[in-house]
Amino acid sequence: MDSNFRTFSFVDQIDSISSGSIRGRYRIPAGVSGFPVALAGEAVGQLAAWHAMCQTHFEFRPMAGIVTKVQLVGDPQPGDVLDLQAEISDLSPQAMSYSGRALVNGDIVIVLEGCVGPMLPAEQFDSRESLHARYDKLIEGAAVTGGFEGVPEPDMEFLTGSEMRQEAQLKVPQTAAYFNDHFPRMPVLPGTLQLHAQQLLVRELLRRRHPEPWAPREIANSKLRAFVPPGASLHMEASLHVHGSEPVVDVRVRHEARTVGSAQWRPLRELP
Amino acid sequence: MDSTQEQINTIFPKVAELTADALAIDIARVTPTASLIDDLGAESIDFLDLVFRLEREFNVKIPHGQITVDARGDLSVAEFEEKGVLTDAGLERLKAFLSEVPAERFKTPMRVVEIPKLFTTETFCKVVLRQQQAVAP
Repeated sequence: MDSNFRTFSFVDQIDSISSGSIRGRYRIPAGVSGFPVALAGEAVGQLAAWHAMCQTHFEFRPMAGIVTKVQLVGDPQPGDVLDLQAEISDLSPQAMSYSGRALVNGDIVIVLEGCVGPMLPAEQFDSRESLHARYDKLIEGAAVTGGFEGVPEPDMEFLTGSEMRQEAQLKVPQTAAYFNDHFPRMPVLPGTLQLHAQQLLVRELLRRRHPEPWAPREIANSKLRAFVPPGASLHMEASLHVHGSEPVVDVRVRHEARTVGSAQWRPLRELP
Repeated sequence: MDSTQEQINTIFPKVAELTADALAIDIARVTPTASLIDDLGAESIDFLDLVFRLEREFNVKIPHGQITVDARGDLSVAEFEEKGVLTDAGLERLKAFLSEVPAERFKTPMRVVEIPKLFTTETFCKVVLRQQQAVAP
């Protein structure tokens, strides 16, 4: 029974796994209204996590932590099949490090480089038996799939802003379908949804500053520092700096007094 | 083999740069004796980040808990600590090992889990040099 792995699970099948790499796939349900590219990153991270969990006999699982560089290249669409790839560079009971990518029809949609995820006891989030059973079905190609019904648009309120700075309040829902899956024993806001909200914040700041289109499509040094519970109210700040002619946006996300996320966004000029 | 101050000085600028990047702070704040936790605000995820950057930059492997293991040296675990608190011998060994840390930062009694609060950028210079020496032919 893998009913847990429905609303926020983005690996349908594991095609191959070896000591240093894992390949898999995920079909975005055709009926969803959209699929933020950050969720393709979630899919790559989940694939890497299956590798780590398998290697530790489902005793530990990695959490989202550090990503040195992310390139948001494409915009996957409902109905697309994501080809997922991850290379594991290190795995210990404390952390796993990996890089990976997702492709659609051979075209890259997202690249993750230098990811480091702290390993935590898997039982804190789900039952080992449930994880093991799901893994076996992913390997056999027999997992129940297609349960993703989309995610609600972030409940964001843009606060006072200027050409160089934009703030926002992000209200994490008290209840949402994805909390049932992320995670059954400890619901927390998925880090990739926080990144999606960051992308919207940066887009709003760039819209004020630049008449020409700039797209927030590259992230450096993203770090998720703490779990964000359902119902949390997050304060987000984006500060624009210009290095040469290139804009760089530092983003910091706070929950109460604590910084829970930070990243540096490096927008790219969109081609006409 | 202990690292020489000259060796430490040689790699300090790069280690300081990586520390500043990991903590997203101005490199001017990264002085040799600044505590990463108490003075620079580092959290556990930052140590993970810093170690990852050091491993890539210097092509070394830094196992989790390596600094404490190295500090303990040839003392047995029982000689080094008792129920999570450093013994007198353990504390003296730690003070000698972390010679870059100002003496007033060592507490008495001192718990093992508090050891990371002592770490400075120079501490990480020394662990990099030790790991390099460990794999040198």
